[in-house]
Amino acid sequence: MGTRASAQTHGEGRQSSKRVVTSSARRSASSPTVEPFVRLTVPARPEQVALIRRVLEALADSLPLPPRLVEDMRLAVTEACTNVVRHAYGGADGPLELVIRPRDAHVEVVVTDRGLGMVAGRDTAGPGLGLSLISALTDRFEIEHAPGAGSRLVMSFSTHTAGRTPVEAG
Amino acid sequence: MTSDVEAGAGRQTTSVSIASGPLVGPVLRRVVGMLAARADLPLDRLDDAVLVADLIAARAPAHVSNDTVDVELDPGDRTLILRVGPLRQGGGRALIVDAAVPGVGNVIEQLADQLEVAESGDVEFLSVRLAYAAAG
Repeated sequence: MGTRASAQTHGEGRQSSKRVVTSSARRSASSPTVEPFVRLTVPARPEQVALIRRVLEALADSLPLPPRLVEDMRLAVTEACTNVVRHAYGGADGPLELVIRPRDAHVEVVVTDRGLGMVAGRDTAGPGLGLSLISALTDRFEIEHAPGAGSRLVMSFSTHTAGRTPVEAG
Repeated sequence: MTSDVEAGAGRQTTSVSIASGPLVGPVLRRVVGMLAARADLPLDRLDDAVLVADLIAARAPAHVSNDTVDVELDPGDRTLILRVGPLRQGGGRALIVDAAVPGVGNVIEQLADQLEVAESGDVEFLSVRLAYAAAG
């Protein structure tokens, strides 16, 4: 499976560049923000993950992104959004926000919720395969969360990682 | 700046904000197409919804009050409401007028079941309602 192979390749040798903030770093409303390229806010429900994947398709069709990056991004973002749908609100309704910011050398994707924060679910002893997968697929990722105040997962995908040769525009 | 998540906690609409540029059309048409399908609009009305999305994507950047095209989408039972804005003052009507195609007329006016421009302070919002009522 090409995607799995790429996950392992991208994960190796990049662990040191990743910063996982697992402390209760409450988000500040006054933190500097950059105008997002695309921001999608949806109810955190299973069917919305498909909509999010469609938006990623639009990004892939419209920008000269390496196909490998798009595959990695699609898998990591699906995993992150599925985590929000499954765990963030404990079955209640709540919003899921996706922000995508393409930059020269990387694409930054931020997944935010206002749910319970990252707590072990009843069906797991702690973070499961999801975060490991996201770690392997991204070049850098950060998590900010606070109990009852939601979580914010920032993922960065480099366009210059081995195997992610940029596509010529036009 | 407050994110949509913070401002919209508890809201169950879908909203999309896209920086004016090449992504507006591709993103908006996919989001609208998918939500129109979920609203159980029949195929011809789904086509209409995507056409309206394309027109908004093409014309709205000239009328928005900042550098992004913002659309709230509210799917209902065989109904989809698009709320476009914030737009500059006069932008709601100007966006409708801009959607006129020579020889065809105003496409948004012809396809929408209801059009409404609402002012909010210095800005405006254009609501476009697409619905399907079964004959009978």
